[in-house]
Amino acid sequence: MKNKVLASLLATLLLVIGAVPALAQDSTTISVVTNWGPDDPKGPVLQSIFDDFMAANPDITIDVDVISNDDIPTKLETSYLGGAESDIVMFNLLGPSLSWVEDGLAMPVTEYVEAWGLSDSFLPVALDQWTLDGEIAAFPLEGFNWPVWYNTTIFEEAGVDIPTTTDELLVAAEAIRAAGYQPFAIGGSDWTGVRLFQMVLASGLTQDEVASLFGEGGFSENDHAKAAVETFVELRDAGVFADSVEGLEFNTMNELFFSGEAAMMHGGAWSYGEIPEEVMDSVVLGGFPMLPDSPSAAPAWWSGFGAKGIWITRNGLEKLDAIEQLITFIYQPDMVGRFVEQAGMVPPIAGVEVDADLLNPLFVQSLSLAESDAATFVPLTELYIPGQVLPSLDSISTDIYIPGTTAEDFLAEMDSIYADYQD
Amino acid sequence: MGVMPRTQTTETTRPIKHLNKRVLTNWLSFFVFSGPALIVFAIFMLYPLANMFHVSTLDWEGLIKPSVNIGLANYEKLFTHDRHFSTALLNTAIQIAIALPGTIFPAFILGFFLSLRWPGYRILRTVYFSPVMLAAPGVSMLFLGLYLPDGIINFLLRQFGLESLTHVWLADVNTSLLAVTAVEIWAGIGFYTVLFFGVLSNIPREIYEAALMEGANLWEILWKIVFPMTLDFFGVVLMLHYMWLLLGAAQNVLLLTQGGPGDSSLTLGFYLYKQAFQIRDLGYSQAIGVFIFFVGLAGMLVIRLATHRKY
Repeated sequence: MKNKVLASLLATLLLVIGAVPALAQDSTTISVVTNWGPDDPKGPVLQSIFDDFMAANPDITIDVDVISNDDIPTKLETSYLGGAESDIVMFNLLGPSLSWVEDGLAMPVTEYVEAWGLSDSFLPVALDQWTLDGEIAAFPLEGFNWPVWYNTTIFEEAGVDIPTTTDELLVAAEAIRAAGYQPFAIGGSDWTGVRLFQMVLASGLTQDEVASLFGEGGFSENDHAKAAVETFVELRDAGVFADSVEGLEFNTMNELFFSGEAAMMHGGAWSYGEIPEEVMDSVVLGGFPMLPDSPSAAPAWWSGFGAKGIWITRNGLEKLDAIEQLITFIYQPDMVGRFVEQAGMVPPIAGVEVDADLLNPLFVQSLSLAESDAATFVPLTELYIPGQVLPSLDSISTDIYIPGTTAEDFLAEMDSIYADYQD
Repeated sequence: MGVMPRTQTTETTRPIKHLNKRVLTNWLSFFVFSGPALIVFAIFMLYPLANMFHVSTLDWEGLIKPSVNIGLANYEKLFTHDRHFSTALLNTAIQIAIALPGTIFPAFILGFFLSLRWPGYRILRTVYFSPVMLAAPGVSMLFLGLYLPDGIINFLLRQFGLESLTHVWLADVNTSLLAVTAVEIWAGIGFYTVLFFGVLSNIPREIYEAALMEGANLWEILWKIVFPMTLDFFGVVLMLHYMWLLLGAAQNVLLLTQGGPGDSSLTLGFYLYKQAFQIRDLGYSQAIGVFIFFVGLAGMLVIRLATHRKY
């Protein structure tokens, strides 16, 4: 009796062991690396889309690895060397990723955009931004806009209008300080300050100058660049930026503006959902006031589609059928619409219909601004900065907020970084 | 007649054969028991070390990019026209000059008083050790709260009417390095205190009693008796912390300042990391690594010579 029981158990065990590989062969796992975790408004949206996809496709499992955005390039490189890179990587179009297709870390998706019926879905401007050397590097996903936020209540109390030129900004800042508020909140020690500076600098340059200077350096010899940086230094020294700006960062910048202490802030679409309602009602979005002799016709702001894309790796090509199903699922208008409604994301595709009542008012305002003449888009500098220059350039760019930094020294420092890279 | 007696031949050859067999047995035992460890050491220590020297002679801009041998060009750039390197070297020297004695001497003193096992010493031991139980990101968040423009330090200074002393501690070129160094000191004192407590607890109490009877006070006992007795161990601790400051301290620079503002808090360890993982110039980063290796060796030798007891 005992032997019969043991034999039955053994047979069952053998059957189960034999079945597991068979089961595994019937299901496909797509591995995804992203920084959109639970703490990012887009993280839960992405997970809900993945959950719905897996429910509709029980033979496909999505394995998500959430890591810091800064760590994604290193993780991709090291895992690539071991042949173990994720099938899909969600990352921006800047710095290291500008050479991923060239280096073989990612596969161009030009033929898949066409073959999977997505070429008419994507906005032409989105595909253009993601086209490098004639190939679409990845599927554009996250569009963004990045305006200046103006607290009209503070401006009214200070008795000044929203400035459209830097001369008006200087006057407004003085009046705002006299009224007991901080003028312009910006993270002078982190990426927020870096990007504001680069946007202001870009607003003083032509498109060709942006591409040339940010791609190869030479700022010290360019009159427009010198004038732009000198104006920025003048604004800093005149107290346009909040007190101790060189020590502020993203969170403290938001805190100053969201608490109603600061009159202006340079905030991206990712922050629209963060602002308290009582302050939101006072906010008007616009561009950064025009520099003297700026080629821009209106205050400058940024918009683009490079904030996040879906990159396919060499390993991903081996599961192309499953990935095709996933990609075409994600880019359905109602799926992209979730990102728009719940995370304030600018969609990269046309035909997204959303319930306007669910949209963040600032997000709606930004879409109106994009269609108006009140502000103009300036070139995105990150598309031109070489990957090896980016860390050093970002690092020294915060120096512009430190009192005592002269325009001449700062421009020389920027050029020396490009010179080091070319060595 | 010229032939040695049988017994003398036996007595002469037996010790030699016995000696050879014993030597052989000893060496065999050595390799059998130490071999696995030596193999692991060779693979995980010697090979990477040798590889570091090799990579430092390459122009290699990323793990997946091809590399080109450029001889000593990386070293030429390092020593002749990299101003970031010279700044990092100076900052590292300053940090070590402050943090090494600033951590080890207080730890030694605290460890001594703990070893006296006064009432409450167990609680104090746990309190002193608590920073070790915090992960580096947690420590950084803690100090961010202290160092922010509206952080605790500036708040207290304002409360006591010392507003003129407030700083943007992490973003001020005059204070950023000191701010990062303070984190190192705070995080290191507790660990070494407990180490010293363990060693000093083994000193016979009779020595203290005899010294006290002779009229010595605790401070004199500490520096004139305990310190000389434990000088060897003190030197080992100095070496350990020296190497940590040279390399491991880069984590707090990474988390708090990224070497900024400008290069004001750039250290050699962080510069190595920056070149390897941010700028992705692997060959150049290993040239910095080789330099740090020799600086580390030299420093440890100096410490060893200064703290080795000569009987």
